[in-house]
Amino acid sequence: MISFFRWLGKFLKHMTAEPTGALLKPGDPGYQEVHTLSSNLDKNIKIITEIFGLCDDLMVRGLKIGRGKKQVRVAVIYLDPLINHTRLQQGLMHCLQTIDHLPSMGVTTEWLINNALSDGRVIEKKSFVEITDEINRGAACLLIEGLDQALLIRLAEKIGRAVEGPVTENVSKGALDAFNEDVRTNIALLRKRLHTTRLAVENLQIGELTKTEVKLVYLKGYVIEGLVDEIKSRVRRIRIDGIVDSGQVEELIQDSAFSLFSLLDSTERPDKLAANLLEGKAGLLFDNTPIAIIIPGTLINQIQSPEDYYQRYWFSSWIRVLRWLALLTALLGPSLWIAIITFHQELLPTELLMTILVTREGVPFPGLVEALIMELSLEVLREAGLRLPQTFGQTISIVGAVVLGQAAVSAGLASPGMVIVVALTAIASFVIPTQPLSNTIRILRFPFMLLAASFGLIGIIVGFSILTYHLCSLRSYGIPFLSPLAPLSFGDLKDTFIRAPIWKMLFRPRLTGYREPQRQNPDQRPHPPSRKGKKFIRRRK
Amino acid sequence: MITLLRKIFFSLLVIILLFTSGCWNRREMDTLTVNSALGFDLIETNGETKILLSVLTIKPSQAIGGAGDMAGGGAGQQQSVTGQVISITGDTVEDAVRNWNQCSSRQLFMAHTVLFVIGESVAKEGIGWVIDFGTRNRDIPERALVVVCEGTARDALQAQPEFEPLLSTEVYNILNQNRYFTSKSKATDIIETMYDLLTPGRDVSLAFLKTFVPPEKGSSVRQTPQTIDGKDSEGEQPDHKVPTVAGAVVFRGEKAVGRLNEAETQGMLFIMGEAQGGIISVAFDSTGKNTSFLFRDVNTKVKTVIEKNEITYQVEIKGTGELIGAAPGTIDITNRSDIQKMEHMINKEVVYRCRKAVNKAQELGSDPFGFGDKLHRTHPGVWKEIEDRWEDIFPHIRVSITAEFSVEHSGLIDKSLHIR
Repeated sequence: MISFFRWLGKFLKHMTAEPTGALLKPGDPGYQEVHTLSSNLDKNIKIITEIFGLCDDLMVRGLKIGRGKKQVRVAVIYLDPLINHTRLQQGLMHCLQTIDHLPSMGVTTEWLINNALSDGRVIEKKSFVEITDEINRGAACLLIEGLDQALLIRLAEKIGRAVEGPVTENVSKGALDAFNEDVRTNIALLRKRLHTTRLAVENLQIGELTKTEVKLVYLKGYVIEGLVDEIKSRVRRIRIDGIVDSGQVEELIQDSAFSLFSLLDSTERPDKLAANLLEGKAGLLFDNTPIAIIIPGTLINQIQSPEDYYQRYWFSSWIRVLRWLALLTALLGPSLWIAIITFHQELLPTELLMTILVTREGVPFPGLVEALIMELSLEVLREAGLRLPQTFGQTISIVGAVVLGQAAVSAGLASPGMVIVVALTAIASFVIPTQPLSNTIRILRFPFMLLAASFGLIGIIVGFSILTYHLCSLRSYGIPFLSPLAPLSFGDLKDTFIRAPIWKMLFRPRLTGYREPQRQNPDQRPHPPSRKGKKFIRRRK
Repeated sequence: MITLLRKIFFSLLVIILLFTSGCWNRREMDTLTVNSALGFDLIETNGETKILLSVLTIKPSQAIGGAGDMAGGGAGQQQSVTGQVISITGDTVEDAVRNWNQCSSRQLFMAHTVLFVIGESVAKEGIGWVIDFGTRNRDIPERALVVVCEGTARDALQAQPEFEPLLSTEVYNILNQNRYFTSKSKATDIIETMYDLLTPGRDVSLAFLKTFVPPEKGSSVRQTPQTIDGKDSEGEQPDHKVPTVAGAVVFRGEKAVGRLNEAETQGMLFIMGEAQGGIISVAFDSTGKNTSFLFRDVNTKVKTVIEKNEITYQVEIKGTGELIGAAPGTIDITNRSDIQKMEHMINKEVVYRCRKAVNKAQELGSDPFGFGDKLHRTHPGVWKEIEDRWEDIFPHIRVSITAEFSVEHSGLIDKSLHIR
């Protein structure tokens, strides 16, 4: 088995080996001549169009700037679909065409930037690699005759949807904006929430071909020591043709590659990311992906919803307790039912036993088979509901829940008790606020059902022990996955099973927020003003 | 390497756990017959005495009616779970349990037994083997209640429950309820019976189960079936028997020797300190009993006094309670002297009931109060001397009983009504 994985590892390594391109590297002989601009405009244009090759959408527009004899030839090169044409026209073309007189010293890039171009996002580049890269990202390249430097004006049109609400992480009270596919928007959403110079946004790039922009965000001085370096080294280790979604990167940079649990948290909510950054964690934002990754991840973080902090603390605490119950129900519901009705009938109250006896009479399958039929059909329904167009989604859920359940019972394929348990399990699994954890629980339900059917409650206990051992052994970037439960840090329990009042949460989590432990002033509990018009008395320790 | 070994070691520990469990087995529910009560009788067949085990089973198939009809109105049909009594004979009770499989395709599952019904014949011959069976068998819960019935247990188990689907749960609930509501019957479970059987100086007392044909008609069970043309067959007497509990049966050793009636049973429970609630009616001011007192928080102390080779038990009963009913023109709770008079009468009544219980027990030669056990605890030396003769001594011991009850509430009104 192990050797297989080793082989698999080698195979993958081979598959994703660094491509040996024909391009020369810096420092190679002849690099300078081939890879940087010359002062010959026509030659430069030729090279760039050759690099792009069969690109129908590459536009090359020649212009002459200045008046009279001193006119200078320039060329604007850009990829047509990426460019915002209004801005191209106003910010570049119009400016170039209205240049009256050129400086006597000759045109320089600085002169152009300072006097001619109105658009602010202008950079100078020399090498073809950089220039083509920028063109690919939606910049217009301005080549000037006689200069071996190009001006790149970033005029990319914002392509994609506007900021919309979250899809999977809904809250009833709280911000309704979510990340979308544009990383610049995502950064903006985050900056909107963290107006501080401490917010670091570092650029990383993944994918030889996709060159996907990945932004590492964290709060300087607050983030766990060494975390940033570790993330960078893991991200830079990735050599791959391309990534399309953050989920792919998540698999490449998480610890414990074979665990069923997702060791990194992901979110589409900027408020959640901001709150996690404030606790000393780091985040990764991806271009083309509306899901950000939070590093390190913990189990506790995955069963909490940002809404917990927006509602009153007593209600959030109740919801959190409820969520744990739902988690256990989703994980163990069917297996407990199987164990009890096939092994431990004495545990049932007599009245319940009678009801079950009546309803199970005539069901031809043993408890496990019955449960598997129901669970599998439910999973199929769930998947079908997800894939169907939204308008059909409603229909399928009604058909599934009502018709199939009812039909299964009246056809004698399942007992009503089992239908209730399966339905309850499904509903309970929807309570889990994050998708990865919910999926893990869905998968884990089946081994538990098998254990329950072969060993009864003992099997469930053994399964649960193994699960607990596994959870205890997991770490995410050095932070135990079960923290703050194991290892127990007592102070952090205020934000684990319950949610303490905000004014009581003085300190950041011990393992992640230790660099700046204190979160707020200790005396912020609201008090009524004292009697007889005295001033508000602050209690100090 | 060491971590690998440790991993393997701990994984093995967990996996071994799977095989260290005790006696369970996989059994699908539809291979079981769940029984709810067991009845024990002795019968003569071909000149041999055999054990007749009557099993009150839960019969599911009957309840479902048309099997495919569940979609229509499930809840209504589930109510109609019924019990069914099936009897089997055997040389011993265990033999009878195994013989069950000769006549049934389903295994007997006894973990839901809540009631042991002991027939008259068994009660007279000795209940030792019943209790042995009840405690030795790993399925039977030891909290199952034991009752003695009139006639055969087989007949008693066929009585129709009126409120619960099964006779066993009905009797079980009646007995448990009466601990707090009347204290006129004794609920004894298997483990307590076992304890009473084994403790020297203490005898078994069990509830007495009576079945009778009710004189009323109109309740769902008591109503006779409708005739074919839909008319109520009015005026006919119901033909089902219904259960009730009345008093207690006391034993000497493992054999039943007699019955205590309801007042005597209450007296016995007062002395044993198990009376937890009930009504004492006293005659206040006029001739008939017309005032009701609800007692609770009863605390009984039994002292053993030995003077000049004579054993005396001093029973002190203390308790509180409330006046919950009074005939018009009798008691005025705002009047101190009325309360005192009331309390006095209650005390007298309680002492009278206890006295009757003690007299009856001494007459029968059975010691359900555990007086011998009390002596054993307080004067072990004396007990050792007289242990063998206790059955002879018990009918002659002196028991002095005092009661001290206080009236603490009077319901929602204070004075009794003065009717114009």
